[in-house]
Amino acid sequence: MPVAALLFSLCLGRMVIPVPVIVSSALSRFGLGEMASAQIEKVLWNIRFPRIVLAMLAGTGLSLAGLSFQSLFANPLATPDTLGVASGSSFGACLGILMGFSLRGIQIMALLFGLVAVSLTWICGKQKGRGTTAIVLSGIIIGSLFNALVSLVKYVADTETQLPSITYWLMGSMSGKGYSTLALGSPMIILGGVLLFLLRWRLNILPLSDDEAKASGTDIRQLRIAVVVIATAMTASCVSMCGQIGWVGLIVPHICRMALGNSHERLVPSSISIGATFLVIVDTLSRTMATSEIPISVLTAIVGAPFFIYLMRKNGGWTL
Amino acid sequence: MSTLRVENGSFSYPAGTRVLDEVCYEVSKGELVAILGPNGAGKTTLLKCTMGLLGWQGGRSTLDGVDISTMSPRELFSSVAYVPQAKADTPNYYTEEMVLLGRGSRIGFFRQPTERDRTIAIECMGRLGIDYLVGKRCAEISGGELQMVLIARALAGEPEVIVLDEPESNLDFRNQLMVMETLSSLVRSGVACLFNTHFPAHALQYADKALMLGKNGRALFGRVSEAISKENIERVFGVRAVISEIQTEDCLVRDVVPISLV
Repeated sequence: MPVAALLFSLCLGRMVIPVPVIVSSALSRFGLGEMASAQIEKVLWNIRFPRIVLAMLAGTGLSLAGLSFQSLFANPLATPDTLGVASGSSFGACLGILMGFSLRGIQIMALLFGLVAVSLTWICGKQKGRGTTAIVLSGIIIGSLFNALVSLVKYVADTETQLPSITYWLMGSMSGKGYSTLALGSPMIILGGVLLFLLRWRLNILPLSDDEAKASGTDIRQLRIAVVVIATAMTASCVSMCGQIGWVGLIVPHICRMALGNSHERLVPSSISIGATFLVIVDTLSRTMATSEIPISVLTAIVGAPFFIYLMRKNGGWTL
Repeated sequence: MSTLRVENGSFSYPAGTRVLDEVCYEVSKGELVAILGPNGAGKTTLLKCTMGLLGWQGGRSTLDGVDISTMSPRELFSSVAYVPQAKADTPNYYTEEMVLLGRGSRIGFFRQPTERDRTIAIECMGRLGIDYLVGKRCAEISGGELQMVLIARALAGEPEVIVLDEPESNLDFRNQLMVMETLSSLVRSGVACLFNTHFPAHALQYADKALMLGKNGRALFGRVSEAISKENIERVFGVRAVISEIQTEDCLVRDVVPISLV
């Protein structure tokens, strides 16, 4: 499915390129078949391809992070957005831009403040049992705190150079990102994905009560800390590459849960492929629907908000 | 020969009052031990301390003579299994996935369950007569069935000792009987079972030994017929009671009937 989405998305754009041309152009990279015209080559491999790979990585990262947070807090509404992780990472990244850090520095700041945000949410919302509201409420509080801090950063930022770059980046966009951005953000997403994939059965322990989890012979503290760090690192990597793209971490895991049940043995692989496909499709829509590009977070919100309401209403008889 | 033994176990919550005071008891292979006591006496705390989910403040638990606080969680919980009370907020896995989680301490951290693990899980469900639940989700089965699934989960880890927290508390007659019959058949097959209960009748009918835990943190431990006596019930529960005997066609059933407050 992700491969089909990749091909489909490579074709479409201001310049429609037929599939056979793409295939022969791809083969020519390996010394087979003939190259397409220089212009097509440039559009395909320097513009569209990195962008699609970015969308796939971001989709995978956000979906897996959402899945992890839901299971970690045994809460269907927990996502990088609702827990304030995305806002925390955004603040970290903005601060990085303000202080004139390199891309690497910005990414580290995003990770650091993402962890701070999720820890604060955890501390504030911790309660006995599996209450769903407290943790989401505290996530919203921490999230809005960090959003306020982002505004503060914007306020003090230099209006000539820093402010436009912060604002543009905050809207969340896949455009104009080359291989250098990819090289920066992809290692953590790929590493996190591999770890979660290996841990996929073990993740089933996470939503159990504390005592049950301990009695399964797993060091549950260690597992939780590992999953929080992995999920936060993945979120922060996504944020530092393409800004804040909401809702993906909520929608994709739930589509998978509805179709396949709650076992992570199936949820982890399916979240990877559905997440990658979903964001590539949304991004393709965002760049092809209108002559100028529609910000991708606008599209995900239009799909995501009704979905969130639906889940909330259904929540009465619904468990993780 | 597997024996889980508590030696002079003491525990108090941060608030200060001593919940458990120098408790001594043990459960061995082929034995069913019941823990009785009034609400708030600390029965659940006792179970948790016994199996290392909470740490003792004084005394210790040993498994075949080895202090369990020196064992790794993996080592400890492949010998000892815990069955919590079935609650409505249990994660909504398929029943066979839930049972498979009981293999956790026997599967490597980064590993996936093998076909053998899955077969064992299904076999455990068969042993308890709940293999008809395969393919159903935990949220769509009854409380009694869920309790059986949780017992099957414990069994899947091939433990020597199974510890159950009020396994029959929220169940109707039939399900209570089903759980108790299951426990005694497990015990006959060579497992040691330790459980909390609010029903002296269950202890009298099924258990070999009983522990009566009073509000003062003191415990009485002995053979069921000695531990559950009129005098002990009056002392521990503050209730005057008689122990009645009912002759049925094939056996003598004993029950505790409370008469009045002391």
